[in-house]
Amino acid sequence: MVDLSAKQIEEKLIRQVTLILSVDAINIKPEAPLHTLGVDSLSFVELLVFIEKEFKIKLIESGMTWDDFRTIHSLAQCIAKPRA
Amino acid sequence: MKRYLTGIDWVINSIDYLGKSQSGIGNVSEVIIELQGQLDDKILQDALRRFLQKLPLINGLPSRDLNLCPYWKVFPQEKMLSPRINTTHLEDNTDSYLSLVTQVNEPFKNKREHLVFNLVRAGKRNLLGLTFDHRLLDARGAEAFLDLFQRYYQAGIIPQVSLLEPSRLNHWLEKFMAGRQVNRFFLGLSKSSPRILPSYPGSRICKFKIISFDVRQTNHIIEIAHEQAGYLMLMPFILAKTIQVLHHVFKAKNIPGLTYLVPVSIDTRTQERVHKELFFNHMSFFFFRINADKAGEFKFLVADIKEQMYEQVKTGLSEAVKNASFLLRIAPLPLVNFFLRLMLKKQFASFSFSFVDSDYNSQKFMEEEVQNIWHLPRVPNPPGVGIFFNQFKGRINATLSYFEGVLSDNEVSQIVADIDTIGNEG
Repeated sequence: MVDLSAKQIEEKLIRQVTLILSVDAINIKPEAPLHTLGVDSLSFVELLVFIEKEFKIKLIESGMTWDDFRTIHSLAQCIAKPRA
Repeated sequence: MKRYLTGIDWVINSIDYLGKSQSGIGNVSEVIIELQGQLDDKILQDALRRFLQKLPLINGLPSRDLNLCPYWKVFPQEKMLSPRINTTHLEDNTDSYLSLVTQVNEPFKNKREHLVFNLVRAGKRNLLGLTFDHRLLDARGAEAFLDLFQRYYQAGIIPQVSLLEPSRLNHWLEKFMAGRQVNRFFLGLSKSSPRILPSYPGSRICKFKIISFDVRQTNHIIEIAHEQAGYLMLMPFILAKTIQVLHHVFKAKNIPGLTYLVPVSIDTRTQERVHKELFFNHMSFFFFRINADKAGEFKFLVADIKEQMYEQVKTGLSEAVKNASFLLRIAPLPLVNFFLRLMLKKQFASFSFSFVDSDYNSQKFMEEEVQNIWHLPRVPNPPGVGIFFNQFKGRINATLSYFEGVLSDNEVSQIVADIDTIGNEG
């Protein structure tokens, strides 16, 4: 269960992407598709590991679809949704 | 001036030592730039001489400090060697590529030579090859080095490049813990009985085949990677395809073993960081172990590779490899080699693989437009065979690198045809 708002989750994700990609937060647009930010296979997996650890989500069982992973914004929205 | 070597640098030095003890040629690679127009030999030579004069570390040597930490010894500028720039003029471009391959199979002239430039003018085609010592540059660093030259050529100044690397003789507990993690992982790998092609340690000649996909084919590959492996899963997709391609060869040769063991070099640095720290080695490794019985099942392969990648990121294996490798620096190179061989019972890998993006940012080299960039890495022997992918200007290239005797001509043709198919799959 995540007790954070979508906005707070988005901020956490942005911070993590800046760390993974070693770029300034100003360059990270939450609505931009991840591949346009420079995210590749490896950095994507690093982000997934962060999401599992930070938000205590089992991604395989979460029901998240590939569309949820398109942007930081869509990811944050999906993580913030209450789950059964 | 001294620049301390990291643990990964020392592992690369160890592979260099192994190559030299087997064939007289170390851990060498070549990056090739294909140009639209003609380069002027004289202008190129003058510009390169001026540029290299400003980088005395290119004539350095590995040495050992009083604190026992290995370092790269840099000699004063006045002791620099003249750079070697070979120029070959050919009537047409039939042998242009062969002429560059020759350079990768030649030892450097002396211990302080680590770079050789090769300009091939073949008809209207111009190729510039940079043969480089992996102890000084990794693949991304070599592209960034040529880009640095281009920026120097345009602006007349060399942008700042970091050469700082502390000895890191601290945080021993962290390094020992990482060593324990890596050791346990390697012990698991050594029990997996990997399939290895028969090696020819005496073989000196490394051969290459290049497969270039055009922009349309590359877009098609990205599209099917997305469909079959998932969003952003290009590397696992390409690795799965490569395993399938080589599985046919191993199977036809009846190579015994239960798994394929594939070390994959990875480098998570951004382009900006590569350009700031372009010298020496900054990569780490993933190790994939694939059940050979299931290597023909593509869906299984993709899922298995993704799962292993996820586990290795989660457990921080690549960071642990980096950290643990610092412990090897105390040992002389013959001993490091002995340890590495012992750990994996001489079975390092079924084949080598890498997938790198481009770090040559400029559109031109000198005044000429850059058409494409490829790499010709001498694969370590064993395993004696590797497939290396790179991307440039929206195109994917693949290089098959193998030692003479390891693959027959028919097998090579089959591998090339199978890789080529990836760009045209329906």
